Amino acid sequence: MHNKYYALGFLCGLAIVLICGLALRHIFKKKCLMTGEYDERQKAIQGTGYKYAYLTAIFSILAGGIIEMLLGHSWCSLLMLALIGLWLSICVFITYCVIRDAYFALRSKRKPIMIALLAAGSINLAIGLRNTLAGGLLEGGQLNLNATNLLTGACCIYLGVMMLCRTIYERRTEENE
Amino acid sequence: MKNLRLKAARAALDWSQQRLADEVGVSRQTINAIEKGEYNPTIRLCVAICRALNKTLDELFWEEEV
Repeated sequence: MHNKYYALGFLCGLAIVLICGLALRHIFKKKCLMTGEYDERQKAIQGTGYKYAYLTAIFSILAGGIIEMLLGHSWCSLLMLALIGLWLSICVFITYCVIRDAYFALRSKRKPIMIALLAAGSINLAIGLRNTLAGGLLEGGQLNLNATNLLTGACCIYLGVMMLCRTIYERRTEENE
Repeated sequence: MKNLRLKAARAALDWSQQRLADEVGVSRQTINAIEKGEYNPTIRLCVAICRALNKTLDELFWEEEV
């Protein structure tokens, strides 16, 4: 019974995140912070980025299986393993596109996107650290869904900082060219 | 191979990479990549660049035989 309620709560949480994400996207588009317009080079790079993200997803599932085989027991819940693969793929795609200047659309403003990422990362990291200190990350030797916040927080902070560094680097090179 | 003719044509008009990028509707980094020879543009983009700089395709993009 507890698992059923937990799953329902998890699904509700996901739905809320999805609705908030769509609302933010709508606001960003309305305020012209996100135009969704990319040039031909950016689209080609995004295609390669998707390829690397796809390969990352496949290898993360394989790595999860191999670790379980080596340990002789399940180290992570199935849903958590899926989330790890998902976040790794997202990070690979965004990192590749940001480095090759294909993530931000033409005429889009980077600052609000980076602020949103860093804010979401900080909140999730705080919740994740609280979960870690409460000792709720492991259940029967398995990494459970309580680790989601820690994973999400770490990934969002990494992406935000990486975008910030890239933006500073681009401004410096722009001045030289 | 670097496209120095494109860079020279842009500089002749005293345009920055950003100005040319805005004229043809691409990012500044795309113009930079074309000038550095790191990206081969499609014929559509080549034509747009030629029109913006008032040059022909031959003048900017035809590789001369060595």
